[in-house]
Amino acid sequence: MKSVLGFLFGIFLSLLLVLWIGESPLFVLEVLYRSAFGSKYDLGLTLFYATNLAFTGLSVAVAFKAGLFNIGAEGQLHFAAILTAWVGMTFSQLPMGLALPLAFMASTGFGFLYGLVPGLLKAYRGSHEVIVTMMMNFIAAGVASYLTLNVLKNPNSQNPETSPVSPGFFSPERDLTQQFFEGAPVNYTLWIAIGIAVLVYFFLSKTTAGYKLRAAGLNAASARFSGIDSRKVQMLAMGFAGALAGFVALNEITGSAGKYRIGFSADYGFVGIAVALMARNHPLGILISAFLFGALQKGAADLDFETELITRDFARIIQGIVILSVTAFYFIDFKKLIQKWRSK
Amino acid sequence: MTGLPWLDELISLVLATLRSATPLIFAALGGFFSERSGTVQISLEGQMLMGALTGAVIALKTGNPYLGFICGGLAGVFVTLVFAVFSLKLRMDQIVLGTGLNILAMGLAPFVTKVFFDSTGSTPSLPAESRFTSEPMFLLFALIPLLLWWFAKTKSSLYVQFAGENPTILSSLGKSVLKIRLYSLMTCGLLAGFGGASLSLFLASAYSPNMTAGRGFIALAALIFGKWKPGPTIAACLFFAFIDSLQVQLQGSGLPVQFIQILPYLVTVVALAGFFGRSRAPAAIGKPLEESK
Amino acid sequence: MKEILRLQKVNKSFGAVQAAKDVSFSVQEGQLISLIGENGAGKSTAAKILFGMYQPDSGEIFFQGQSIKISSPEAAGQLGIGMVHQHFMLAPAMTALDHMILQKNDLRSFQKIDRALILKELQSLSEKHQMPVDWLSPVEDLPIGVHQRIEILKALSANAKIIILDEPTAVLSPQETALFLDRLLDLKKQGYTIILITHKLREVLKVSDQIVVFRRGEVVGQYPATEQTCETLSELMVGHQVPPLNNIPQAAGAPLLTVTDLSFGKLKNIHFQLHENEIVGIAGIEGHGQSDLLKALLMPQDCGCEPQQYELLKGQAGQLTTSELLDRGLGFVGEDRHHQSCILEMNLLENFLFGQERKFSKFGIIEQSHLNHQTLEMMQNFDVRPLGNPLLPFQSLSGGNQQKFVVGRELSKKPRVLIASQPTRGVDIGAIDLIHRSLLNYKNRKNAVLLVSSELEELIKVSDRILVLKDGQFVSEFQRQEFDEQRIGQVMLRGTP
Repeated sequence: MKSVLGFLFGIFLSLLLVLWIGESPLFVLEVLYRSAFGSKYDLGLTLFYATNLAFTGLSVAVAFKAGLFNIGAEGQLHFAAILTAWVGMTFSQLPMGLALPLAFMASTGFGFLYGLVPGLLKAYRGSHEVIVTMMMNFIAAGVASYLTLNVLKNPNSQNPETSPVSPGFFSPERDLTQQFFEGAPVNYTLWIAIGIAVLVYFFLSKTTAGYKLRAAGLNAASARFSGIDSRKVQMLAMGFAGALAGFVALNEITGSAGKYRIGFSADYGFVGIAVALMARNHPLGILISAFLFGALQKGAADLDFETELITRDFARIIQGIVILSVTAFYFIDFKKLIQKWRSK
Repeated sequence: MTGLPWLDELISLVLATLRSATPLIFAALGGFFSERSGTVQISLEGQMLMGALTGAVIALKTGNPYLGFICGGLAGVFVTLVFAVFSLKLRMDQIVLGTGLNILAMGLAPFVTKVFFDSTGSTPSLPAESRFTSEPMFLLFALIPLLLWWFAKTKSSLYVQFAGENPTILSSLGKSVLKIRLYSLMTCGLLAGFGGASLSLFLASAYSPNMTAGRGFIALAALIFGKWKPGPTIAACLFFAFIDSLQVQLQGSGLPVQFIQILPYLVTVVALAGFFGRSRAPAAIGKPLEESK
Repeated sequence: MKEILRLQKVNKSFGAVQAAKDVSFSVQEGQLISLIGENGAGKSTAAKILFGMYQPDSGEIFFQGQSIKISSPEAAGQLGIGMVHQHFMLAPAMTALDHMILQKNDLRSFQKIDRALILKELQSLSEKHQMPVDWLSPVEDLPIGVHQRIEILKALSANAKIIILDEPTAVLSPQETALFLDRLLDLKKQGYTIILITHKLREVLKVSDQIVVFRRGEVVGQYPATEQTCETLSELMVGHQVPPLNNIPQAAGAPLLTVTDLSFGKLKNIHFQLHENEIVGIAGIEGHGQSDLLKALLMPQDCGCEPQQYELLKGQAGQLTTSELLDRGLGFVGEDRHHQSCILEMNLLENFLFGQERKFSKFGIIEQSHLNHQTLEMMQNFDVRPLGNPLLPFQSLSGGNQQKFVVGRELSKKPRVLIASQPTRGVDIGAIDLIHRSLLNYKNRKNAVLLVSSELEELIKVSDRILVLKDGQFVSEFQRQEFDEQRIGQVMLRGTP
């Protein structure tokens, strides 16, 4: 498929860059491979990143299908996370059977609300959702920072983080997935991610509601004449996208950390854009592309340790190059190129 | 200065606003050229970032802030050239492209500082003779009237406007819309790069990670707010800059620091929510050119 | 008279489609020559080749006897060839003055423009040709008739001696058309050579010296206008005779749709009713309230409609949503198909779902096989091609087939009231006939059709009564026996017969 070619080409270009600055591309590849798959723990960490990326990838993809560009997944997940942490601290007496469903509702609910705002502004005021969601990323960061440092701070730690949530909400010792991967942060939400991806796929292609969403996304004007309330659909789609991003909060607060830590997100929101693009917004493809980018994420962290010049930000460079190269490949008409080349 | 404390405060607020507005206006004017000619411009942030970084690096290496400033502009041009290749030739979706370039810029910057200065994100501080105290602001003051004259009185400004409203007219007259959009993009990059360079060389005294802090997007908001006309856009920039300088004044007044910090972003959202009337973008914006037959 | 332009065995293909095949015809200086044919027959392609917008794959073009290449519109301009396009090349937000300045070749890019001076020049040009224009307002604020004047003046001011006009009267009323044709004859007297592309046979016969007939990309022949009639031309265009439509009027039945005292946009207090077994045609110059009427009927909520002002099928409808109206039994074929009646990027099945997804929904899930079956059946009934692959993207269908699909879809929903606006625009003669017959069949089964069309001929052929819309009001009503194109045209223009 063109996307995979694009991804590989992106990696290739990045390796050229590596060569140019004096590091060995082969070594880099080796580190990347080892880092992603070397041990159960490594694989677990890769899958942990992939889980979050699948959620944000789906968030971006669903918005795209509705004709909207959601670059606010980052803000949505932070907003959901800080408030889910608060829920986890406040309702400390709940047993797991009640706590987890509550956490589920909180993380998706708050995410939904935070996504609804740009959706509403776009649908009913025509405000550019790219700018609004970008601004709301900064706003969420500010709100989360304030709440973490001033209201919910962990008294027993120097780190900028909240107090831990109660064991009803977070009990890693009972998480089979985490046990299997030898303590890596991956957890039960991995399976939720896979399940949600399948559900989203089914929703978009097989249901009338999904049809309406896609119709409003492709041609809002026509859709209105067919009886679809395009504005309402788009607004709800953004909310839905926010809810999907909110799942990252579920992962972080009930699956891996048990508290909100400032800076916990490895830019899941932004990388989610690359994940969605590479998979051409296909929900099942997103699972694969999330895995690849997760592996990249894990690999980049190790590259930081094992090389002189390559830092964790190198992953960003690769992401950027990959986005460009994947999308460029999609737009290049290979048949035409081959024809032209042949006729010369 | 004047002996009247309230007047002193007012003057310093005005000056702070003008300072703060400088990078914004540069970027917004850059965005103006791009969007008016039909290219959606989401990557102002990345252009500014590259401009800020390059400006600081060159100024440090050569000791000359003017050289740094110009190179900052050229860095912006470089970014928009990449953008041009992908959007004009390959007809890639412009919003996706812009976002990709922003991400790339955000990754490239710390990479560069690591390679050149072995630091984790900032460049070393610039000594006083390697940076500006007010020059970029004066450059803007000179540039703005020139730009307004150009917009109202020349045929080339019509070329740009028609490229954004109905490019078929231009191609039926034999003018190359591709060239017009390319030149507009390059101008955008130059101005946005200058905007970035004025961040690291004028507002601050070094490059620090993500120092653009969303200004590229605020500039875009100002453009929308100003209905894609040069005069109102500049006014919108001044307004946002005012909020920004107000933020500095308020930091000591007892309000939570985070609330003050998010004020500019909040105001942008409120502004975009259309409390100030809807605006309409250039009609042909974002649509790729048809191939000629 | 000497020959000024000639196309000889010109061929042009776009991918697999051959738009022009061995096209040859000759234009004499100072003559008015018409290129006629159905949509897609090749006449527009030939004209665009003359204007340098397309390059022929093979064949020659002769200008004053010399074989030349017209490589671009600029090159065409230098030869004195100007073109007024069917879809006006105007940017709505810019002023007419801006458009004229844009094409002034004597101005350099960064030179200061003296707008006042240019304005004076344009005003005298306007006067010379009796075509007044408001030069300073944004084009979108001007009526369509003025748009056309701007286009013609653009060509004239660029020193065109040969003017090509592509479907110039498509948007004009009969009276405006008559005035326009007079202008054309004036220009011809002044020595201009005119090439007219049109499908309106009566106009062609009125003004042309020569007629070139196109069919399926080829030139059937070039004929002096004096030797032809509408029937002979029609037959040449289609290749065979078209049987006349049999419209046996039936008695109108119970009212199905009633609008009372509605005001919205340009509409002022309008009343009308649709009954069983009738087709009501709405005649009127474009821009007198037609789109407002359609919007009010389909989206009454957005138009401030009170519940009682709009009754549909024995129930108040003024506050219903579009979806509820469609469910109740309203069908809609929009004049702007791409923005009102279909989604180009979706496939045929999904476009069939358009407006009726609930009928194929079981607990929210789409019933694929039912959908497949219905779509295929409709396509067979309405001769939509190509048959066989319902997953094709809608945009891969030709314009005519797309239109047949939309009309077919709406009729297959068996609505009680069908609102159709320009249903046969862009469709060729065979398909127009099919659509007209379908509409007649459909209404004779106790249904009603509201037909909005800019083709008076179509309205006269198919309607039972015609309401004339002018300045937002129904100023006159004509019963079938009173149908007279001249009289209706008068009312469209002046408001009174």
